[in-house]
Amino acid sequence: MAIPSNLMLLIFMLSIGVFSGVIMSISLGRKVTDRGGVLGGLLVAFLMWVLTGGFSY
Amino acid sequence: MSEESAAKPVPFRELDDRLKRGYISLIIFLAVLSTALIVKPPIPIQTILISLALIVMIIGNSKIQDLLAGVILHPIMAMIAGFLAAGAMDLAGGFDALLHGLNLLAKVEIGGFVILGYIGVAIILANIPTIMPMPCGRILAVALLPGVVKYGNAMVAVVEAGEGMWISSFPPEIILPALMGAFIVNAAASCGPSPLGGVGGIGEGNLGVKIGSSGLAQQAGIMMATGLTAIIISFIVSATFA
Repeated sequence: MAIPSNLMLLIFMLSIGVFSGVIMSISLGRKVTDRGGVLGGLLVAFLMWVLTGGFSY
Repeated sequence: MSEESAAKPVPFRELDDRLKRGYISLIIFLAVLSTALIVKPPIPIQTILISLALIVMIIGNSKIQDLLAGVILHPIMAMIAGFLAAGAMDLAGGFDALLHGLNLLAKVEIGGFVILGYIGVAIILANIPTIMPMPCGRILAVALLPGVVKYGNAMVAVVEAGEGMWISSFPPEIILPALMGAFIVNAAASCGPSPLGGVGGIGEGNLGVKIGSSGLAQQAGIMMATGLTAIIISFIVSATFA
């Protein structure tokens, strides 16, 4: 079964969100495994995906 | 019109009324600005410009409707609007409320676990301009910058009062520059993905593609750049503090 393109975009955005969140967490002096960094990045990526019409692709 | 007649100077008294008023306005405008540069009066340049606008309106015999119709629209006006919004928010206590709200969000717990913490909230704060992309990044940049500074200082205070930095080579002083740098890069780039018509919209229009079609891709790039900016600033600032 093919993965819908909007879902693939969401996965892509979430992975970049995690990357961004983790390196920002490190840059603010926290460990790579800081929960806030990962969750913050995920939330930011999800919000961007939703607000650019992620559900309507 | 021949070249000879075009080159022939027309005496001032023979100019039509509109042009006369224009000359007088221009001369007053340049004279006042030059005087302000030389004298350096103890009043802000904005006050002088507003006064000049009123004088020019009187000389030009124009109404407020004419002035609004003749205003030159430029993204820089968005920055001015952002500054006005920031000033009004500051006076109304908006940034204190923002700081209070962010502190509450940072302390939200589910099942005894802190969800976002100060770091998670900082990441959201730094990315707000791209989550809500305005046609000019300066709108949110200047409107939220005082809030970012206050939040960065609150983070430094929390670190100094309690748990300290987890990466021991980084001093707490890196928090504010890293957060500010990340926020500024995010805000500066945020007019790219704006569906309301930013620089990305101009590019899409020139390419003839659907407006907003490159928005998500740009947001992904900006999100990466935000984190990378923060870490580059952290390394540079921590090296200078060492």
